[in-house]
Order: sequence, then C-alpha cells, then structure tokens
Amino acid sequence: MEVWRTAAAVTVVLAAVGAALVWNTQRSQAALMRVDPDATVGAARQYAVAHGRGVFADRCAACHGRDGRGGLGPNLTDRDWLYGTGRAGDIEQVVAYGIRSYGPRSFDQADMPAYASARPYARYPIPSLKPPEIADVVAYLAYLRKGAPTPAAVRGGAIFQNRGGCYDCHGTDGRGDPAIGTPNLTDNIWLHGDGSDAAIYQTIAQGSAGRMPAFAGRLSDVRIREVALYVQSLSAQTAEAGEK
Amino acid sequence: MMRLSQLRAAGWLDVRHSQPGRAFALSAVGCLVGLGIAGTALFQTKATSTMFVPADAVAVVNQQPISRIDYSAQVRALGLDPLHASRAERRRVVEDMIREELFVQRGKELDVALVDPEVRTAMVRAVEAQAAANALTSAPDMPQLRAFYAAHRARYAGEGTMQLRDLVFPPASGAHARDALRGGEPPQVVLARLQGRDSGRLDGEEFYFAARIHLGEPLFAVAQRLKDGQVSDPVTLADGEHVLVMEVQRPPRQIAFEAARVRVLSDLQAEAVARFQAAEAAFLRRRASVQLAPDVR
Repeated sequence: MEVWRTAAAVTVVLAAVGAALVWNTQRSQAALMRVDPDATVGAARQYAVAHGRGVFADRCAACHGRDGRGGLGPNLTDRDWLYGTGRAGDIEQVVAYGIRSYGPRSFDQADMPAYASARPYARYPIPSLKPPEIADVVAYLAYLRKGAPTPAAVRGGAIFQNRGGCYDCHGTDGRGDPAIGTPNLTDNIWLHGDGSDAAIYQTIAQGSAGRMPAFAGRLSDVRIREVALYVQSLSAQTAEAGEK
Repeated sequence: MMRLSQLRAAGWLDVRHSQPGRAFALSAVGCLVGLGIAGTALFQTKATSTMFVPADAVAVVNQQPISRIDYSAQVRALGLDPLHASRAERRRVVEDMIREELFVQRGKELDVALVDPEVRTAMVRAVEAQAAANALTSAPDMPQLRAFYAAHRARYAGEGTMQLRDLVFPPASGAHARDALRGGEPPQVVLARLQGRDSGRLDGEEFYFAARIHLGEPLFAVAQRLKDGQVSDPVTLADGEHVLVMEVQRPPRQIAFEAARVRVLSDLQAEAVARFQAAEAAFLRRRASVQLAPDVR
C-alpha cells in the first residue's frame, strides 16, 4: 500500500512539474510574441537569443557558418545589412519569406545582371558591356571607395550613371538600397569575392542572384522570432566589441 | 391528430410489443429533427471556436490562426512603422486580414478555382513555388558543391575575349593578302595595295558572345583558333574574302571553386528545384485517376 502511495505522489509531483514547465514556456513565448520584435527587451530577449542559437545551428549555419561569419551566405556579424537596416523586424521578415525563395512574399526585387552576356538581365532589357567598359566601371567603384579619380573612373562613372543602369539599383551615390537588397558599393564590404579588382570584374561580368529559403510554414512564428533576435544579437556583439 | 387515448388503444405506448407503425413514425420524427439541426448548423451557427489566441497569432478565424509575422509584414506593406503604429492602425490591419481570411475560407467552400482561371493559375504557381521552396531548404554541404563543380567545370569559366581586325578583299586576292600579312606587311598597306577594307564588325576588345554575333558563326569559328598576332586563311563569304588578324586573344579561364562556389550553389539549387517540381508533377499524375476522351487519346 505504501508503495502505491509513493508512486502516486511521485506521479503527481512529476505531472505538476511538467505542467509548470509547459506553462512557463507558453508564458515566455507569449511575452516574446506579443510585442514588436524591435521592442523585445529583458528576459524575453534573453529567452529568444538562447533558443535562437539552436535554431540557427540547425537551419542557418550550413550557409552562414556556425559563428554567423558567412561562408556560402553573407556574414551576419558585420552590421552591414542587405535587406533593411538590421532591425529585428527586418531580419524576421527575411527569415520568414526568404530571398528569391520562389514564394509570393519572397524578397525578390532585383538581381545583379551578368554584363558579359548577350542578355544581361532577365527582368528587362539592358545593354551588355564590353571588357574595357567593365574595367572602367571597376575603376569607378575604386574611386567611390578611395576618392582618386582617373580617366578610366570618369568613363566608368558615365556607364554607371547612364547606359549600364547600375544607378537604378545601387543609387546614384553607389550606396545601395536596403528596400531591394542592393549592396553599398562604397564601404569595402563585399558580398562576393575579396574586393579585389578581379573579383569585382567577375561579379559585374557574370552577375549574381543568391537565394535564401523561406522558413514561414517550416518553422513556427516563435522559432522565426527567436532566430531573428539571435541573428541581431550576433551583429550587436560585433558592435560592442568594436566599441570596446 | 391522434389523441393519447387513441395511441394507447393502438398499442403504440406499450413498449413491450413491437409496433411497425410506431417505428416508422419515430424514424420519421428523427429524420426531421436531424435535418432541422443540420440545416440550422449549415446556415446559422458559427464554426467551433477556440477559447484563446495562440502566442504566435493575432487572431483566430474559424480555427485558422492569422500569423503575427504575416501581420507584421502587412503593417510594413502599408508603410507603417511597426514600432510606432497607432492602436487604430494596427486594428485596421487586423480587420483587413480577418476579412481576407473569411473570403479565402468562403472561396474554398465555393471552390472558386473551378470557375476562375486566375485562381487556377495562382494555385498552380503556388504549388510549384512550394516544391521549389522545399528544394531550397535542403542546404548542400561542401563535398556536394565540389562534386557539382567538378561535374560541370565548363560552366565555371569566364567569358573569353578577343580583339581582331576582319579584313575583306576582292575575290581571288585573299591568299595574297594572307601571305603579305603573315610576311609582316602592315594591314593598312595591304588593304591599300589589294583594294580591301576593314569590315568593322568588331569594335575593339569584345567578349566571345558578342564576337560570335558580330562576326557570324563561320568567321568566329576561325577566329577562336587564332593566337595573338596570327593571320587566318581566307574565308570566302558573299561580300568577299575575309582574312582575320588576331591582335589579342584571351580564351575563357577556369574560375576556381572558391571564387565560383556561390554560383555553384545557385546552379545546384536550380537543378534541385527543377527536380522537385518534376517529382511533384509525377507524383500528382501517378496518384490521379485520369480518363481521356476517345478523340484526344
């Protein structure tokens, strides 16, 4: 009889502990989800970052690297954001809907044309460029970063601002457009290659259109928010390290 | 109407004995009550509702949650700052999303895809996109990428470039021009002496794709084989005998895996997408029952 009483008591205690854990998880998730991601602070933020680390390792590390410093995909720790300005809400939208992910809400407004081809851009006609013209544009981009004008840079500027149509996505100042995910060309942070003239030439010649999967429907909204806040924390760590 | 006494007299109230008439009458009453309940449920009552809204939803419409992330996207799409949108603005967004969800649910009930070609097209695209998205989520590892690169090396070569002069001479003078050029005589002198002209088809250094278009296939095939400084044999075309003088030839160079890996990933994903979409179509076809009319078999 005593054995049965003990077993019953243990069962009741375990059930109570389980219920408390479930309740606590639900409460933490509710606290996380019922405020805007950019307004998440304190315990809710810590909870999200702690859980987001695991989600990142499972779903994102294959392309962005285990430490988020990039690999196949971009570096997520450098405070340079292609889409949006690095707010948690912006990151969350990218995680949910992906980039060129074939979904209707995917971020898919522009590709980098392949200027060394007969039809550089699939979306609308733009002219191909000749090898010396691409070299001139490379010189112009060097001028934007270093500020040393050369005759080639002047010619490249004319192509950038007119016939090449580069200004249309990267802006007349070359600083990019976070609304359509076009990179800043003036900051010496490079999405493809090492930033050498040869690598930039190759990107202009061959184009680029990286993809990122959409996780809406594959991860719950809670997990998406957790990983968004975790990714934002990676960048914040870099910022803090830089300030120190 | 039968009175109670009449029912008793007919034996309908005596449950110890079977009564066919009573059984039929009760069945009929049961049917009518059932139809009444079903009709009421169909036309009047609301669907079963849950007691609470999950943390990751802003509303639940007939048990269908409206995602907070979709709500957030909608707020942004309207140009509102999610952090500073007023309560009224947020409520308006939620109301719009509830309305949309109700209409989507009604659309499913009415099976609008049956009659609306735009809905059909959108549904086909959505299913294709779903298959494509599934392909994207399976990230390949580095050995897979290297294997794909090795199997498709030709894709990862830069576009070659060439700079040449295409000289056109009158019939029967191409061979003389070739010999003179190979002997080191300057092109301008040879052109003047043999009454030739520069076709001008190539304007400075050009990528192979552009040179192919400008020269035409026969001349491009000859040009591709020339090295820097070489002079081709005459090629007879309708406008005369062409002799090519190659100034600079830069054949396509292989791009190293490290430099090409983002493109390799993109190409691998594109192939996976095509494979997933084909598999989806094959699966649907396999499980479908399709009968063809005799005239289209």
